[in-house]
Amino acid sequence: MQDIEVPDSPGESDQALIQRTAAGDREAFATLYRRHQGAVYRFARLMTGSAATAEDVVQEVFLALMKDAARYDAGRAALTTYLFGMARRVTRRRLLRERRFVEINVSDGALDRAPNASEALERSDTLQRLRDAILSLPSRYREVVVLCDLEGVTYETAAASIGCAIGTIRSRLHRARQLLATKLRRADGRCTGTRAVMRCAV
Amino acid sequence: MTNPDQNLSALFDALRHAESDDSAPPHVESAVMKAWDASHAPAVSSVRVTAASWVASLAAAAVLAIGLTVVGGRLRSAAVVTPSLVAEAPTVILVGEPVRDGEQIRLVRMRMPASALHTLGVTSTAALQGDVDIDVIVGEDGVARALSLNP
Repeated sequence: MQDIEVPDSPGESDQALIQRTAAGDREAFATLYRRHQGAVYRFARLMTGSAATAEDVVQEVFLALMKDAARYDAGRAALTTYLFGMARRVTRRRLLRERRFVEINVSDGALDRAPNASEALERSDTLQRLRDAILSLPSRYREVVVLCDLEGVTYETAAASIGCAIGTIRSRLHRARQLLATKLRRADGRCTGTRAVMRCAV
Repeated sequence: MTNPDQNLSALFDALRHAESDDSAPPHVESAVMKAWDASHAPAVSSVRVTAASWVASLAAAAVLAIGLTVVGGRLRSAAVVTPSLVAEAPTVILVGEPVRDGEQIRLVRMRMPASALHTLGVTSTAALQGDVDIDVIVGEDGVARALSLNP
């Protein structure tokens, strides 16, 4: 296999890279991959809770891009819209097929960044509870939270990726946040209760 | 009491920050680029294969055309000869047991000198000269059931 050489053109637009990809430019495709794979990976992992599945999704999405590059119409949608839309389809198909979630086991770096260990541990626990709560949401709510609240995608892009109206994105996001807040309060209550018992025991 | 939305936003920020560097591991990129190489490199060889296929197809077509021409010529010449042969009914010689009902038989077609037949004891063709076409009906047991002589 050849070494991947990313061209020294960080500002090159997605559209230009797509055109070069469609013309068979390997470096352009590699640049597109490196530019967007992280977002696709994070989306897929938060949607499925599985790093392995997310890797498969990334691979499938970029293979689809490789095949569709010649047909891709930048005038119809931004590349991020295409990628998230494709990632969503692949992820939903995988979820339907597997119908199970795998526990996320990732290091979020909180332990390294926090000023002291107990704060870091608590923060890490809190983030894990948030991940669990997101995973427990119905997929139509989960995807809008991941796209808009975590990936910072605009409502317009999210609506185009999902294929619904912007108003639907807004209402789903509102409902998703309500559900998340409720789930986190419950989780906090259970956690606080556990800590109290542990303190009493000590 | 803090606003739940603000809490949630702070949590989202923390999670986004924690996962900002997360990306697919290098082996995924390797796999994707391998797929790229596979889908583009074979494109050249597939053109070669296609070109080779065209050459082979043309050669096969030429051989077929020549073959059909030759066979057609023979069939036409046979058609000219046939009327004279039709007058001479084939000689059927029954040998061995008759073909049983439902028996699987094979037809073996051969051409041999009439003199050889005479040597083998077939006297009805003694007057014939040259080659004789023979159809042999062979039974399941490998024994000939009948001979058809076409002088």
